Amino acid sequence: MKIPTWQKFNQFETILVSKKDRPMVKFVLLFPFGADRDPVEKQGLTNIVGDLLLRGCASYTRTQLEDKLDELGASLNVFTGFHSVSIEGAILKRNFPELVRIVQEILSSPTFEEAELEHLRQETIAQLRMRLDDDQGLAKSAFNRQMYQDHTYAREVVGNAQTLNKITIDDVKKHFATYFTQNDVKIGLSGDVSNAMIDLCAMTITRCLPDTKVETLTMPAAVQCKGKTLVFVNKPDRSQTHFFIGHPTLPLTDQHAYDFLIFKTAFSGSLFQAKYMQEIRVKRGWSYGAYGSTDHRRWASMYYLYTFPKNDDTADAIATSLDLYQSAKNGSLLEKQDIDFAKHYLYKSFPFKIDTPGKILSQKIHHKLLGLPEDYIESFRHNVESVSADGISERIQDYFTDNDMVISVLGTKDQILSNIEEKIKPDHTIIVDYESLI
Amino acid sequence: MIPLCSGLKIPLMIQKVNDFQFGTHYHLEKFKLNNGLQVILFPDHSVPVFAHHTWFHVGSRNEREGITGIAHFFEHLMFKETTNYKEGEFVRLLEEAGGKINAATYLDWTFYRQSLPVESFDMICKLESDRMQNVILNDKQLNSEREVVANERRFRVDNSPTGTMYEELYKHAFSKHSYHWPVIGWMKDIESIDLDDCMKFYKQYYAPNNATIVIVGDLDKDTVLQTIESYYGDIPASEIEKENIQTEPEQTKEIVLDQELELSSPRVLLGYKVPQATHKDIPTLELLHSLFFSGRSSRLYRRLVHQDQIATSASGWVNHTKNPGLFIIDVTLKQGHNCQEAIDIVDEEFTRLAEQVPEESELQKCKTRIETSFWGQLKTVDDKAQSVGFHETVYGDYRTMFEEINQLAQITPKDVQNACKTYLVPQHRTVVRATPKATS
Repeated sequence: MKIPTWQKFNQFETILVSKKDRPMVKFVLLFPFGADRDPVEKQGLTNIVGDLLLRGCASYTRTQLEDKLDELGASLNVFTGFHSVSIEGAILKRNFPELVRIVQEILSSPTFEEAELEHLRQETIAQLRMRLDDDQGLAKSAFNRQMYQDHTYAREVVGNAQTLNKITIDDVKKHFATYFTQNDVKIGLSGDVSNAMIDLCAMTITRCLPDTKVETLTMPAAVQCKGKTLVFVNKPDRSQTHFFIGHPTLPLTDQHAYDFLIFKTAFSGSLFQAKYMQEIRVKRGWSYGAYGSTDHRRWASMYYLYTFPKNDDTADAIATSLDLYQSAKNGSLLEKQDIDFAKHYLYKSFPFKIDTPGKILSQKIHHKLLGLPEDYIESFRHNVESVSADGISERIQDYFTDNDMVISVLGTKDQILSNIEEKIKPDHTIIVDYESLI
Repeated sequence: MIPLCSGLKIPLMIQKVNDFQFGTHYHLEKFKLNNGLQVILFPDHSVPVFAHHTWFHVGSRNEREGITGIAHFFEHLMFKETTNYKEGEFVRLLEEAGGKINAATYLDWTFYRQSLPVESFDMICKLESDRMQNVILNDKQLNSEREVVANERRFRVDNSPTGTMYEELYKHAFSKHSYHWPVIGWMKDIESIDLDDCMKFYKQYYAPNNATIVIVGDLDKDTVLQTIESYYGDIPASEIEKENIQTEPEQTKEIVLDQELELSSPRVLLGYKVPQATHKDIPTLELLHSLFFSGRSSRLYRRLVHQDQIATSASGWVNHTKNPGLFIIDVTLKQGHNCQEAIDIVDEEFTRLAEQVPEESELQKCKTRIETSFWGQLKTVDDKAQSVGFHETVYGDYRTMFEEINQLAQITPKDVQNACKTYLVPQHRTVVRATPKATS
């Protein structure tokens, strides 16, 4: 499939990914701000504003709007990230103009009713509570908090009960007026699409949003963690734990990012052949899954390992993970053939990155947000090929830390904490109750 | 696309069974080898990749007490050693080729999926045909994988309120039929399944006459058929015992179960008995599902989450199974509300539909949503292969996935009302009410 490039249409950057085998259209309107603009005491404000857009405008009450969208067979959602808000829709091609008209309505004249804010506040708090049932999510949340400390990335985009309760309808109206403007909006379409559809979207935004400038935001880079910190999330009656081990790492824009990509694919990619999966699952049967991942954000990138063994194996699994990590760092874990394997995989699996128009659109947007070059997709294979095993081993010390890392474990304290501490001897241990994480 | 070798013809050992055209883009063909292996081809030339799925007509339905979970356990063992490839080779070769590989087991089926660049078609046929006949096992491998499966059970069931509740639902909704036990198996059985059990299972069910291969992608038909024939054509068919699955007696009384779990807020599951996937009422039940749960304007979602605001989430679906199965409703309540409030509202809404025929416009909305969802499930070659394989295995005919969409137009508001009155009644349901433990 051809990889399109961003095009300027009037003042907007636009992209069109065409494939006509299904009569479906996906569209994205991307605004260049997100939860990064939330006041500290009102975290969750941007997310609330986004959600309230779908709860009534001058022409439709919430109920009428939902009826209308379902009648069209459309999905319409607003997603808030740390640095972006995206309005995303998917619809049968024949109904696309009608969906754009609805988007125009909700952006031109949102009603922001007090009663809807209250409903949404209670719904969001209830959904936050549901997170208490997600052990993996809780362990990751504890990991993020310790890793990012006072940085914005330690927060939740949706806020928490305390901050949500402080948001007023005036805050919502002011936030909308300040940030939802034509300024730097990006338009993306994929599926059975045409240039005329881009025209329609661009005209719609021009009609319904003011042409005012939004101040650009810069942030400090995320803090580096110091020492080996164990965060233990205590939850009753667990027979299994979930743990994350990680630290800050190179951003995708770094000149050596491809070295790291290949290295982490060989060590802890989502492949069965990756060393971490082999050592934890295949050789020892300790867990159903064991892998590493990287979270790339505009102002920070983080690398971590994750697995979920039973209680009795947890201390050994953490200790082994740390040993593997050290071996990876000192160059004794991976051989040239492992690196070549990872390169082959990344090179040959490339078509699956671009096998649907929706995937291409999502990547183009993600790359835009991270400030990656326009040809990131097209040059991917060449960049993978260019990496050498020698180059990786020369730079390996830069990717990993010796002892500055966070280890978060969710489990039942009385059953396993002392074993873990004895095995890994952390510099600091922090115990948190699982309910405090929402 | 793999280049067409001139002069290639469909091999004699492969007979065409049927073909099917849907719209202007989709043309599928089904073939059968002499040994019973079925092959379905679905061309898609948009990207130089393909999906290769092998669907075995065996699932937890074919187990018995004492070896529950063996279908799923064996799925894991299929990635071990064969007479031609040592342990780990299968996965290594495919991942090195850029492949995405996985497998899944459920009540009625087990399938093995791979998505690969087109140049690897020969390799996947070689590897899959090899493990269809040459798997070898030893105690060390079995015990290592036993630990992995036990951990998977801890992850999916024992430490998961969702898994625990669904296990309880099926356990009580089915007292005789093999849908009674969980697909992953009881822990005591996972701990005791032995080599002999595994090899007997393998010899019987992993055979060409019990499998359907689905191939979707940028491949040439003649080359595909020649390759399939050369790798699979000589594999002997197996003797498969006649299924000895007990018929579930008609449920005439509501079953209600209470659980205390490590939950943040109450949650309730309702499972209503519905007919098998091939039954004529299933498309109507899909419309009923859409009317109650699909989209924010659907009746029960709106009532529970938006209007009465007692629930955080409310969803439902029809579980399409070879034998009569369940229409499941899953509601998570807000703190301060209880399961019975949700059940009362469900009953009220079902009664309302039973008493008042829905408007044609409401039904049309549901049909449009189903159409959108249908297209949404056909994005990648892997999506397409899964949908085709599922329909061929559970319905006995892949064409039903397209025909169901066309059938929707014929369903009337009265049909929907009748299906509600027939199936969505308390005496046909099993209810699992879960409340947070006192310590939670």
